[in-house]
Amino acid sequence: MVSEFLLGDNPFIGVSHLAQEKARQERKDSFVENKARVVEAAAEGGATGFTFTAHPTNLELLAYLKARNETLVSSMNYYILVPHAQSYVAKANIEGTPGLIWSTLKSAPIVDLLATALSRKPERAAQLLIRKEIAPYLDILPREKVRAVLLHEVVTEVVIGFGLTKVIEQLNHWADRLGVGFGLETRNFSYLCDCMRKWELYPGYVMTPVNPLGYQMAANKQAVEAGMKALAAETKIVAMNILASGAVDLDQAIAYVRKYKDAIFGVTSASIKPTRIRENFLKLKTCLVI
Amino acid sequence: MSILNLMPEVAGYAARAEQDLRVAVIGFGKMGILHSSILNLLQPNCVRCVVDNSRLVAFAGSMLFKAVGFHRKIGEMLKKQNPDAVYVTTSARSHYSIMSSLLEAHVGNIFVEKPPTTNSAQLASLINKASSGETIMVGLQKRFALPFRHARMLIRSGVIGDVEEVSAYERSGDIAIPTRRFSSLARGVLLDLGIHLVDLLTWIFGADKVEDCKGVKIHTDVDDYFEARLRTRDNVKICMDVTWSDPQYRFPETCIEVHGSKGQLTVTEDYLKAKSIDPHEMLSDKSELVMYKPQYYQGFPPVNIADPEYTLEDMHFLSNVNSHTEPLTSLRNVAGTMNLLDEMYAKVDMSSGQ
Repeated sequence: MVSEFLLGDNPFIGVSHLAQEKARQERKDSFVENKARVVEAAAEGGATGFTFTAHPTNLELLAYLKARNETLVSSMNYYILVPHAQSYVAKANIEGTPGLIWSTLKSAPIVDLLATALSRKPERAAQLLIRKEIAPYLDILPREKVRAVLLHEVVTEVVIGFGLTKVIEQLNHWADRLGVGFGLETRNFSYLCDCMRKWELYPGYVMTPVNPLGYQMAANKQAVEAGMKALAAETKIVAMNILASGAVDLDQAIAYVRKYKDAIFGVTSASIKPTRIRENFLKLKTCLVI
Repeated sequence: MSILNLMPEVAGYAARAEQDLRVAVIGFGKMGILHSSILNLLQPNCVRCVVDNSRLVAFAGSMLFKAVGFHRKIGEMLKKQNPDAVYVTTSARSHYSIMSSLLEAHVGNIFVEKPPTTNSAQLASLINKASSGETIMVGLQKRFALPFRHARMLIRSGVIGDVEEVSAYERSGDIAIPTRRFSSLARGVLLDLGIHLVDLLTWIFGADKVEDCKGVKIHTDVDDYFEARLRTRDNVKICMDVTWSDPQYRFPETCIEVHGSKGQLTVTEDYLKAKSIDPHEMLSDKSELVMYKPQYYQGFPPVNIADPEYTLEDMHFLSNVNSHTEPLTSLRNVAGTMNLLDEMYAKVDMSSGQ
């Protein structure tokens, strides 16, 4: 049964998987006061949580919300997507990859760097990076409400492609010690399913696109559908991009998601318009919690 | 409209995907990692080795990617690994020397990221060095984005009549602060990013003459902004601009607007909008068609990392390797693009400003 209804942050950070033109239009409404209204409206509609990238603008939003409506901030669950990949791509454009690695390493505490080097476990570097990125959010959000840290698809797909099991083990272990869940975000869900079975390693959460068009569902729609059914007992599946980036309407999306509601733990929805997001969550809750 | 109409070369790809291909990647920056991950998902464990001349990258890579052999010298890698195909994903200024050494070593299948070289003379030299049996492809992936393929098909089918005027841009916000990273290349946004747009304009419309152009330095000492007026072989006017310093564009966006005698068409990586005076069978017997990315990429391509066109170009390359056929973006097929870029740089009037 779907039990988590999560507000997504794409319109807050200038991302649209329909068209960049749409993202630029949405940016006009992407100021902190309006975003706060969107979060409040989502909660009124029945959203139970917020899933967001560790983007500085989300930190600003959460700080603003906490000052204005601490009860709301305390009532929601949080799923933090790390690392904020776009910032690293932007740095690499300016500095080149070796420059990016150096500047990232230099920003980590020297003691941690030494420990990582001495351990000869480079996968620990991923943990350092993520720890640094989520620290300011953990200062703002109630720890018990941070349900999971999710590894961004940019890293997840490399992990799948190269079979980097140690990275997953390391991060899983670290999240466990931190007292939060750990999960993966991917657009290549069926490959991840194969890896999870082969590695016998099941992170707590997997967030992946699920929509009637099969958009961003790789290897293909049928393989993702089969994977969801097979994996639901092992991991909590969060369905994102259920509207295929706006190419299908909410009724079509709900009709499709309902077919897999026993396998899906959570769904996401996003909008920059408070009225729209309230309606979305009202309908999602009505139709999916049965 | 089926995907196979737009990309017939992927038909039967899955059946051919099991071949035991050994791939080497030279340059393990963001493009090297991107292509490696796509390749390994398309054909598990096909990336066998990496060459990167950075000690830091080679060391960190060898510690993390344990199933992959890391080298710092190309010759050493070729001797030890004998790969079937090599991806060159280093910075642009090193492409010519690396490609030359690979061709001299008789590597048969090479994929090189764009731009293939820094100028057309170097490209001509590589074409001379290559033999006819080699599969060499340039990573000009916009030709594999389905909306652009669709636009080309509609234009060539006369859906909007005769092309009368074209305006186009490619914009990103990648370079938003001062950097000297491009100084040694002496060429900026037109070569690095604008090559995609110039390639599309050459491929779709046959752009081949430069009327005038203007460049502006903003954050670097090369062109950060470039605008040009071009002409096609049929004397159609094309106005284009390119920048990597527009903060409104979080990701690169390529947009082409076409005015024809019977209609108009606008196309980007994300969508296609076509309007014709009369209903047309290629517009589903209507006079208007609007299609967005989710409609083009329904459960396709089979790997989804970054933009779909990266996977599609890799599938195209692997198909060509398998069938020993010439890629759509072979060195020879992109020579027109590089010639036009050279002419644009030769005619540019540069200034500094914002």
